[in-house]
Amino acid sequence: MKKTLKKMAWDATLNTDVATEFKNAELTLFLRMGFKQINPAGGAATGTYNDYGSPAATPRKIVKWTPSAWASWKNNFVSSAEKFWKGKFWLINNFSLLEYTYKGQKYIPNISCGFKLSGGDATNATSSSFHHIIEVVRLDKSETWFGSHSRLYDSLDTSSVPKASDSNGKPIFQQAHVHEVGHLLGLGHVDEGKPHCPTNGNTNARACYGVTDKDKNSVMGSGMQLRPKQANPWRLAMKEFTKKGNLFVTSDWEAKLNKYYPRTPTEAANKKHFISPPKRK
Amino acid sequence: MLQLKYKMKLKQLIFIPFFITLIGCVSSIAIGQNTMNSEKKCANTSVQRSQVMLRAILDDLTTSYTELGGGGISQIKLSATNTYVVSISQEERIDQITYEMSIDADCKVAIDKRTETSVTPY
Repeated sequence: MKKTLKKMAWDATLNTDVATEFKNAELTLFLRMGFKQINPAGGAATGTYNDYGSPAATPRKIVKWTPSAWASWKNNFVSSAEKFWKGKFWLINNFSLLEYTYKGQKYIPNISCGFKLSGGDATNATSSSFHHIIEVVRLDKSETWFGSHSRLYDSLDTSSVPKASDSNGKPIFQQAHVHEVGHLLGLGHVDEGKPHCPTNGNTNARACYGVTDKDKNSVMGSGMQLRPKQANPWRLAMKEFTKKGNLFVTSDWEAKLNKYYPRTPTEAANKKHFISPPKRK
Repeated sequence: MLQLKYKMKLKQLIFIPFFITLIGCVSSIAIGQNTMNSEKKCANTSVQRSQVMLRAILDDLTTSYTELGGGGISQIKLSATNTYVVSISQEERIDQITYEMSIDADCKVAIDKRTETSVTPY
């Protein structure tokens, strides 16, 4: 069985045909990003562009994109962001759905979470081809920082830079683009919903990026670490595919950061789990 | 010519130390006046009051603002008397730290209240 789901932010495909005694069903989220060059005004080789694209913010020196720099940046963005999010989560099939037969034995698959990112050129394209269109500035070599956000990136956003420090003063590094892709998948900042970062307030406030060391180190904080909560876009897809589950109930399509093998119906009924390959006849 | 030069050198030898001593005395008087009148000058010089308050803010940020990234301080604005708002650019946001301060006649600064918020500038 292969099903497809189309949403505003991403598409998803659920494939149970690949499942075997050791291989789970595959759920892949597809994100089509369109990148749009921001070049100096009037066709000049150099110019300025303000932080956040805001007229009131600080201007930074930018240079015109060349075809090779543009292609190289896009390729690096797509490959590194895809690698970061691909194959990192597994969802526990607590509903015993999607049963299949393999070599005469019935199994209940868990869900292996895949990710496919494509990055097209949106400089002259229409928005309908992409889930998200992102503008990108190419910073002059003298610039070390630019005020970017979820729809405006800069050429340094794929670099690993110190974003915050933990309680021992140790720097916490992040590649901004993987954080931004998290937003495009629908994820908010790590501490959203906590008392110091209410969802009806400014969820970009500093506290929303984490207060404890653990949360600061999260990719949706200031770091690069994944948390099970960040599997929510995949959980949402499973909920929509199966019409079962509630994202606020953690045991529904429960997210794990390591592989959980398929189970027989009896094993599933007994709530047995296998994190290493189980013995099969 | 040689004699004249020699005479001038003699005069210089006598007068230069005298002048140095005199200037030294005048200098110390001037410095002394400055020291003695510091309270008055602080109270009456708005720029000096601003300077000491800004120094206190910058010193406080060293320990209270531990973010390592971002674009640094993009603005410090006097939003009300003795109240400054420091804007620090970060990706996706600008952190704004408001300092409500008091300053006495001695130029001693106290941070009465420090509040932090963030704005989304896009």
